[in-house]
Amino acid sequence: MRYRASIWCGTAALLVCGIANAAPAIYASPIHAGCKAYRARTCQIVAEPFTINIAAGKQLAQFQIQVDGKVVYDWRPDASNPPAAPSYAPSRVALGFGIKCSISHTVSLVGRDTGDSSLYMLGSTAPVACPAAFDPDWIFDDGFEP
Amino acid sequence: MNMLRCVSATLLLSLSPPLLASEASPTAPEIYVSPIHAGCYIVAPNQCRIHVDPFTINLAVGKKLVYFKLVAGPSFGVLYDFRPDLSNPPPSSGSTYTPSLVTQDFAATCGNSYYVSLQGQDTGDPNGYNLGVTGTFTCPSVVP
Repeated sequence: MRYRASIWCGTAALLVCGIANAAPAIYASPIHAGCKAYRARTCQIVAEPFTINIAAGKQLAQFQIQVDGKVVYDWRPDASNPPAAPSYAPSRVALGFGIKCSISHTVSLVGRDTGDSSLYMLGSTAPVACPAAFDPDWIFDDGFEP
Repeated sequence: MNMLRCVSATLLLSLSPPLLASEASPTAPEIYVSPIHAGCYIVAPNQCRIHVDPFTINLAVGKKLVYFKLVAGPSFGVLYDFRPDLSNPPPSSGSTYTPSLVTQDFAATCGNSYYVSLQGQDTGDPNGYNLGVTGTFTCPSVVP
């Protein structure tokens, strides 16, 4: 996975960015997220609404929300009529994204449009601290919640 | 991915004779739709949900909506079956209808892959039609 150009353009790599010959065509608004307790042993990430900006003449092909590099939301557009430039604002899911309590998680938005050959990192949060599980033993258990 | 889409499209076509009929027929369906986009997310261990972005059904001028369905393929089945008021079907004015989102999304099996199709009919159509289909997405299998 590569990082979108504007991320490193915005840091210290402006010169490198300027000469890159294969910059991703897709880019996004920042992603903001928090963590909340959902049930006794489950926490959830809640992401604020975001807008994905699509390069001129391109269409959105895919996006994912990942937590610690693992997919928690996998989205695909209409096969015949995917969202076209300039942008697409996905609707919010009804519930949060399930994650383990008591630890910190990093939330990332990755995606690609029809001008990109692979997924790009479009934005990422700092580590978000989740509340402690009511049953601390659960953080070592990947099994069913009772 | 392209192969998956082809498989999905093939399955969908095979499940939906009206679409084939509509493509072969000189009379195109009067109902058509804005694109449908969807994905799957994990809520808790072994609990996943399919989320469908808002969509608008476009009907022929003067026609009314008979039904629409959201169907998850290739083998899940109907997610949502919608029927309007028999005496006063939408739209009450204009030629579009935008259903409200269901509030809790649609339960799905974690780890499985799905596509979502929107099927519908208006009073100008003899049959239901496939109005749109997403690419194939995969429900997460574990919570991070």
